[in-house]
Amino acid sequence: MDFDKNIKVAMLDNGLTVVGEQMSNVASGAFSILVPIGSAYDDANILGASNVLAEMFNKGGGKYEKKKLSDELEAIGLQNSHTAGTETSTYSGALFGENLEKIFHIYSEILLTPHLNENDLTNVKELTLQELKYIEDNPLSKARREFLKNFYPGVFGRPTSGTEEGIKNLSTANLLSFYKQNFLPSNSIIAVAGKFDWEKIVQTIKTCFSSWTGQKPLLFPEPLSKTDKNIHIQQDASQLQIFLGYPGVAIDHPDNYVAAVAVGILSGGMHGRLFVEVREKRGLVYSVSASRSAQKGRAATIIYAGTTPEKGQETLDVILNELHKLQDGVTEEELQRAKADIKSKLILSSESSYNRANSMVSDFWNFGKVRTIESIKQGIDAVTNEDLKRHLREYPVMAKILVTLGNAKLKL
Amino acid sequence: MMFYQKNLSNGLTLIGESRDEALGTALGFFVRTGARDETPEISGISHFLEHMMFKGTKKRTALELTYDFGKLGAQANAYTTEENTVYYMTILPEYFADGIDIICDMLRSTFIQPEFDMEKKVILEEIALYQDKPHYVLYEKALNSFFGQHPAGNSVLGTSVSVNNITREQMLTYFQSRYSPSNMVFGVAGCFDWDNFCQKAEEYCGSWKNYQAQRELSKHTPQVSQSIIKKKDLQLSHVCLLASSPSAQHKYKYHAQVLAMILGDVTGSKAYWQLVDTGLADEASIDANEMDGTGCVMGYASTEPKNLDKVTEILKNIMLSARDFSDADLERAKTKLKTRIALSGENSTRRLMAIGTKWIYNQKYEALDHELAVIGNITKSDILDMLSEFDFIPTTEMRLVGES
Repeated sequence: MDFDKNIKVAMLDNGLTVVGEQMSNVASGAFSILVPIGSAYDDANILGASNVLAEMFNKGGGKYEKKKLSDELEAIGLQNSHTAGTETSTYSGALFGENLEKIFHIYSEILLTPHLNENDLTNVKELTLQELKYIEDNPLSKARREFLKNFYPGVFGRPTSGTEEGIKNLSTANLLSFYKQNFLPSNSIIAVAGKFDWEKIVQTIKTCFSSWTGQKPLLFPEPLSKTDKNIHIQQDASQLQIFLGYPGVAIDHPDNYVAAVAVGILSGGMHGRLFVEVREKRGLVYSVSASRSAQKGRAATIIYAGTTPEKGQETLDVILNELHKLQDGVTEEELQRAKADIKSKLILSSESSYNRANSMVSDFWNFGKVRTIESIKQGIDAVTNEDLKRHLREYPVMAKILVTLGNAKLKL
Repeated sequence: MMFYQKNLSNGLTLIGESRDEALGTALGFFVRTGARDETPEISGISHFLEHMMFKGTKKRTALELTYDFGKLGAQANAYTTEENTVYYMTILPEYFADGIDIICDMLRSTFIQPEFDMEKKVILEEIALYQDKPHYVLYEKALNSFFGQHPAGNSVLGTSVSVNNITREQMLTYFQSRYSPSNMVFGVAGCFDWDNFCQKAEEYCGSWKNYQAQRELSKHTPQVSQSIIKKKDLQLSHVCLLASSPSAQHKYKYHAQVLAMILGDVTGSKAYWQLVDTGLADEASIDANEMDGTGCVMGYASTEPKNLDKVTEILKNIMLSARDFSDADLERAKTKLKTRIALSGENSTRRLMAIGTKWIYNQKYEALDHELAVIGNITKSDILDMLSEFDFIPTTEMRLVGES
């Protein structure tokens, strides 16, 4: 991969890495702070701890009690979002670039010395329990959660929002101890994108985050199911939710771009095979899509479709047939379309400093370096029909996990 | 940023906003038609028609259209609301000419019968999909209840019965009465050459026939009602409160947005501190929706069934005491809104949406800097003045609860 002078990297002694890209076309500045903490790390008796912690950071830390924190962030117009995932959590935001330095002064207080007080925890637990009920009330969210549980039978399949029991078990004492053991600078990354002064930002981050210490080992991916599984959850709903997944090559695998193109053939924009065959030619669904969920050391291709129960079996059969047909190869036009779609999404989304900061942290997390837009583009361009054929031969669709939720059980 | 505008002789308005730094080009047609322009027997036709626009023209079959979009890597989509139908695509500038060719061609669908029949099935699936989303079910019913007989509260999707009964002939008639070039705006934002855009637009759209397309803009009287709807096996309960608010043409439309932000933005608002921070409601918001000649402000919250009365009471009180805010509250809300608008200015698709919908409503360009200045100048006394006309006192309350 090429070296790009626009991408800057600085390592702090405590294991925290700072990456930055100055963008000449924007006035905004964005940051994304990635910490290896998430549902896979949650202590077994307090599942949901990382999710609750992400929300608790909004409740104040250091010299900022929560109202003052909220007022200060709003006064500089920050648009932020805290997301707890499986292996990592990200705390990110965008604002005018000139205010970026202030953000690190505030965020270091809330992340490194969060207040985690009793009353706020009680309220956040209440909200999180409601979030779980929201998922129960929305068939699509519930089906996705159940699919992931079945696809990753170990800690990687834990619901990021937690479980009712886990949330109820949370106390200020066990949350604080979980935080102390897991919220550490080793392998953590801060990305900054947009309009800013790199030297000053690095200096500010050093000043603010140097007192943060500690390290912990990262988790290793667990083995996945070797055989097909068909799980049905009976529930009254207008539509049947269908999730079908199978393992794929991880993001750090040499075939990464080939795998991305293969999924693009199935489901890139409106011209993907699944959309054309399932929706356009047969009118079976409103939504059908394939996506690749790829991380370091693990990946899945996940196909989703929602349809009325009586059309469920036909929908699944058409999807399975398309997966099978993919082995026969693709036309040159299809390949070009899939590549055009990926490249265009990539370039257009790179216009936003917020998107860029988030893709930079995930790149550094996955590859130990930040890829330039140009190098990703070249990687996609280089994929040939021969690569695809070889890839699909070497990594055939097997060990399929089917999860359906609604009023019809299907045959896999 | 530079703004351009021109009318074709058939009444089609062309608008463009260029930004030198843009990496992409966004193109879009804004049609002044939606659910409010439908009669009950064709309820859902605007949205169904929007789908049919992707189903083939004299030049391209549905599949060819799809594949041509694909060749360009075009990120294309469309949406229908109560009053607008919008078709848009974002492309890399090198595909500018091809992009215009496709999007203009697409707007002259042949509505062929087999595709019409097939797409009807897709729409029925979409209706089923939304029936499984509790907050959408409530939103649609509450809006309908607030607007009463006024068409601004019509359902965008329609019902499975109304959609099932729509015929191709009805769709052709609807198209011929609503898709007049003078009822549309063709916009471009980001990286483009204006002269080239005008020339292409003339070439592809210049022959479209112009005719009158009217919209009924009768005055709306907010309906007073309190109701409860039920859905099986729901674990959370929801409430929606509606009041009148300034229209898209009103001088106080930004004031309503700023006030809604003070009262019910997702963070830092009164609703946030009283309902979310306290753990009572996992979601609570108050939004001002400006519409054509009318508008509504909507309060929404979801909560545990046992807390529904309490949450409704608090949300209602926040709206009832809308006058009750400090200068600091006002300044924070203004900063938030200004930052949001300024950041969205870095995205060509969002700029296209902003200039297109503003033109549809006001036949006027509002530069981003102008918007920021207007918001920056809002004072507390302006907002109080707005409240003397639009008091934000909810007249419609609807709750959605589970039934076992």
